[in-house]
Amino acid sequence: MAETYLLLAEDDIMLASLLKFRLEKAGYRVDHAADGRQVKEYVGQQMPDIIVSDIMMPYFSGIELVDYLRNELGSKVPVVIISTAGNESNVLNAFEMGADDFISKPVSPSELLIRISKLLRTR
Amino acid sequence: MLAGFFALLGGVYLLLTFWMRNRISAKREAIRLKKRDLAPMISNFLFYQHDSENEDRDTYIAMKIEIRELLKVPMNREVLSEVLMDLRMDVSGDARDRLFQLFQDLDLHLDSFRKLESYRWERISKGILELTDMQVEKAYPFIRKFINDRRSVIRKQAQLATVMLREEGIAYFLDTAHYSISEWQQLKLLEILMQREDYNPPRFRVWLTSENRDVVLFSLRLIRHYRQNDAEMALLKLLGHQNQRIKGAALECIREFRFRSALAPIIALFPGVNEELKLLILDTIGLIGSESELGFLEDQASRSRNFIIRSKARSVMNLLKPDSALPDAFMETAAQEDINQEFTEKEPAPYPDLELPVEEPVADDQSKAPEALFWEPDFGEEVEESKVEKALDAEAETTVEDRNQYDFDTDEWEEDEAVFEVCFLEELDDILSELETEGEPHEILPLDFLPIITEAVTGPEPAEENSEAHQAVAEYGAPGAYREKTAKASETTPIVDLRADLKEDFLPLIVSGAPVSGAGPGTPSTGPPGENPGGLPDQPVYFWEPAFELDEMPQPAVLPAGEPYFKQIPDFRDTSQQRFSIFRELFRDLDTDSKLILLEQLVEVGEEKEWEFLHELLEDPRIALKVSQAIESLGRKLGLDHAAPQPQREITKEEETTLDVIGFELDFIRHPNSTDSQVVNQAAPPARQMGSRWLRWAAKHKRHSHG
Amino acid sequence: MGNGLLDILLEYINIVFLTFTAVLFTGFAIMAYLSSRNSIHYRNKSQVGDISRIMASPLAPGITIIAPAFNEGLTIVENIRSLLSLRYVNYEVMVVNDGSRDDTLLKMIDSYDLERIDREMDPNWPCKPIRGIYKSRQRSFSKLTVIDKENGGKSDALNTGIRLSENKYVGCIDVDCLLLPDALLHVVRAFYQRSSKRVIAVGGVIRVANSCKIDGGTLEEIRLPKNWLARFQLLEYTRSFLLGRMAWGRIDSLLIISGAFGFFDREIALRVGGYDTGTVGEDMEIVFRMRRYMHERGIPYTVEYIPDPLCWTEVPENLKVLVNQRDRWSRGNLETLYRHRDMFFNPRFGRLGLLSYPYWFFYEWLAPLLEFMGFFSILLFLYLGILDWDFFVAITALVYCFAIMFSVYALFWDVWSYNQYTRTRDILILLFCAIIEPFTFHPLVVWSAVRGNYKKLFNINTGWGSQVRKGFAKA
Repeated sequence: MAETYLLLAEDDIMLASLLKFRLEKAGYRVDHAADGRQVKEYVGQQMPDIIVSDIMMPYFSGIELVDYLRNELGSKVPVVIISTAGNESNVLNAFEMGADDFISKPVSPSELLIRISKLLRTR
Repeated sequence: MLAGFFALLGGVYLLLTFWMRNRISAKREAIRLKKRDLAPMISNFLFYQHDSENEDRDTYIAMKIEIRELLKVPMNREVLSEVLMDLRMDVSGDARDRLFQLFQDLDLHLDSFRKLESYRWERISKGILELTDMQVEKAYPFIRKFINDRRSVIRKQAQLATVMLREEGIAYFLDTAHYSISEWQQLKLLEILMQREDYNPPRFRVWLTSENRDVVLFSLRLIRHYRQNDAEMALLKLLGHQNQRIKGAALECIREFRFRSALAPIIALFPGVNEELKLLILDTIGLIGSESELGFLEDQASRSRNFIIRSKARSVMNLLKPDSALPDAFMETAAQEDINQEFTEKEPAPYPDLELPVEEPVADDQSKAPEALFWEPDFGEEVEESKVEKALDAEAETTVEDRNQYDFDTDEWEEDEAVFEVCFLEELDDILSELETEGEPHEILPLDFLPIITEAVTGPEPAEENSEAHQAVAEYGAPGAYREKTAKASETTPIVDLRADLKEDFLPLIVSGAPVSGAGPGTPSTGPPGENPGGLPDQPVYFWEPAFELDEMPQPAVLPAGEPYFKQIPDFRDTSQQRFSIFRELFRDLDTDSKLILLEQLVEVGEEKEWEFLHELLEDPRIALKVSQAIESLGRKLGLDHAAPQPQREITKEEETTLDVIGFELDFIRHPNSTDSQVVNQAAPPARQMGSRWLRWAAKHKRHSHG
Repeated sequence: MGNGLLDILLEYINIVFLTFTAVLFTGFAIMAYLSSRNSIHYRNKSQVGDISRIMASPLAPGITIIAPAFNEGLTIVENIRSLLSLRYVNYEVMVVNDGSRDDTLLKMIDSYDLERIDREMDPNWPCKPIRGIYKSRQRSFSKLTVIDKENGGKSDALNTGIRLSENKYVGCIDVDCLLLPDALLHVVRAFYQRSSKRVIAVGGVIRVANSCKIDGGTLEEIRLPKNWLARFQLLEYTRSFLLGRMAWGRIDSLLIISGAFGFFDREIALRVGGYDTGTVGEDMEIVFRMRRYMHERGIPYTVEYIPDPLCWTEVPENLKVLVNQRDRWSRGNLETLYRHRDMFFNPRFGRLGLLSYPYWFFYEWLAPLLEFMGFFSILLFLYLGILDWDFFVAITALVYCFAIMFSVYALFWDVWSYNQYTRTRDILILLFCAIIEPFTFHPLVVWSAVRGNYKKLFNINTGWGSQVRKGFAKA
């Protein structure tokens, strides 16, 4: 069975490496993008099975990413947004744009895993 | 020589700059590299499962050994600590607990403990910070002792730590805090509490009697946040606190919990507070009030000098009773029709029902300055004439002349101004002619529209010396008392004796200790009938009185020293003077209908002093019947005897007019400290004494419309 | 006989210059010391505590950021966007369209889906009439309020905003300033950290954004400006913000809050009547008035200063614009100083009267004039052949070296505190600027100041320069 390809878009290096480690341990194939441009590159090469993205990143915010995916690329790839406290209105926007789930910082890696697997199950 | 010296210095600085920059950059780079190296290790540790396969276990153990080696180098330890602390903010749940565990496993917390013993405050506070962030629970007793350290950064950090590390920390903190607690600190403390999962907070009302004003304030906010609505009486009591912020916090709680019993007190409180609190009060009325408050709101909507208050009052009126306040500003009159025609032809009106802001005067320079300055009294301060004058002068000089440089280049402006001018001059004539006939001995200028009479005030000498200190104390504690530097006081005694301030000036609208005519808002001639004929009370008038007995106050669990300050308030029941009830003020100023409605309220919540007051009201023929009914019902309710003796006195025509006319906006009015009853009894139309052309204007209208 | 008199005169002038210089040097030395201490203290204080969580606290106060806009059609949409993405919950962005002649308003209405709302304005508050108040239909832009009014100038626009705001604190910025995401948190911290004094205003540092890489509303990379004029200004800003204001902040005598980034306690600002529309130096003038207000009531207060770089803006790269700007500054100086002249050495105003005002008077206002006159008098002496060469050379060298040292010192502190310009090349360029500044940039500044004073004193009214109908010159 092929590994699920997960794209992690997060500009905080330490957190990204942590999450990546954990996700890889859980069996996903993970690519890490540190900002919006890298995300576009990865997505251009191969559309991931699921994307986990921070809500605020240099050059490209999470909302814009969702917008880009849904409207420009027409992709239905499930997107999980990592949001910061107090950013609820942005999260709602992301949902309006077409995000599927969100998790707020501080992130509990186990919880993230649960949400991801749930999303993938329903696909 | 000197030049050479400077040049040399310059060179030195330059070198230093480079060196420093290199060092910083290098350090950053090194840290970044280290982080990158350590990241997998840390991840590994964090997600290690004890029951995983051998391979993982081996890696794990190998890493552990490696790390212990690394940790022998201090720099590595520092970097690792930093890494862990950064991560702490990003992860939660299981991973975070492991993080904390890791921190202690690697003995990094010992470094932090060592920092606590340093003599430099930066090190100590850094240590505290680290222990807090990593939630090293066993550090609690060590950090706790810094909670009242005179060095502010340490103190604040320790306070945060105490609250964070143990659940009972907050109680300990509130009990023992001696220094003031800044708003920022309160924000952070609340943040910490909010982070707790399944948090069961203590009942914060216990600390409402603390001697530390900031503890009271903070407790109020906590009560509101945790929705602890069991402190109703204490909240009502705190409405009378000097400090505006505490008043505000108490008001917010009341609003949050919708305490109906607070309705009368907050209405009574209204005149004496600043704009922000007034808006809060109006808001609260909107939530807990009913149509019986419409009278009060109507007054505000029409008489308040402050535009925002007026708008708010109107909107609350509409909330309580839809369409009770209809827009009546800028309505077309016959005279203005032409003007409007012109206007609409020039360009489409931006709003269909709102035209250019026109009516308020630009013509009259002087009124601008004081109005701009004195919308509402603030900070509970008492206004000093002499200073006020100077401020006015400065204002007049600095702002007014420039404001008049506006060239509103529309003709409509001038036309409306002309209309206004005409009306104004009419009124002016009225006033002047009246004045001539009455022969006022006052020095009050006919055009005295300044809210504060600019006469030399001899009266409040004590007020003057009090007010500066008073202001400062009211808001920020006695100078030096809550300052961090002067921590000569030992740690267990309160630094400032709040009881001292409270004795004199506890309640908001006390004018001063000295007998002053026209004490409190209101004019001498409108003193409650039944007073000595001169119309002046001899004792300071307490504007608002607590509606419950002081003994009912809950006792705080632990007190550092002394008794709760509430107990120090003189028990009003013992004074031999006339006792005043809040309803007195209200009745003075309302029209008949509202009085009738208020009577019902009074019966519901009244006590003995209200009952006595009712007897005075018998003199008003228009409400006498209802009053006697009220006396009976209240008497029955309280089990009192009927009819306490009261001097009978006819309400003079003057007073009657006054009773009708005086708007609700009762600002601090100072009168010359004259006990000359003649002066006071003069039939000088009180409206003029109140100041403000607008009150008179409103008064004029009201007089006409009143039955 | 005539010679003797001339000699005495010369001596006298020499002494005057010497004293002036000596006082100045001491002053600067003290300033340097104070600011260093403040920097260190601030550094140590700030490292304790993570402030980003506070942004959503229920106790966090409301802030209104007022940004007056005039003919900013080109960049307004981007600017607003960056303002809307600050990391804070309880704030509002109030853009005041001051009667723009271009499509500023239209662009805003389009991009942010605005609709007119019904809201009353206090008719008593003096400002130009409001044509409309707009809010967005979309929730994501709920923080935005746009006020459309008739042209009245920057102060007028700010006053309108202050009156319409319902928050506790108001911030007055230039609409094209880039604010860092955590800016409001720092501001709130500055307002809230004092427990015994009321903080009436908070000022911050303006950083030079020329040539920096700004993308999508965020600052991506900090670079030294390419334009030489901008470089000189960068050096000057570093000196004045890092050393000057830091020092004044330490003794709480900060007189001026930059018009491009200043926050005020709204209640006090209203009570003093808002900005003065009759002066060009309104950002300085309002601080004077607010301070005066508090002094006269004897209320303990303070004006805080945030040294962290929070606001980035473009400085003039064009000579003419620069000269106009400095000209305007000096006119503003004069107007404000004159208006509040009763503070001069007046102990009633404490440090404000005894220290800040005299400093401002002597150094900021008088010094350029003295320099100018000094320059001419030297030429005169040269012509008359009475110039005391040794003395002249000595003093010039002294002043020169001191100036360079001071600049380098400022650079040093900048590196130590924030280390923003890290490349060796950048530091060397700045050093070079410091060396040639007295011959190039400084005379420019002096000239503009003189011109401004000349205009003011002889009552030539140019307002905000040729820009009065074009827009707001940089604060």
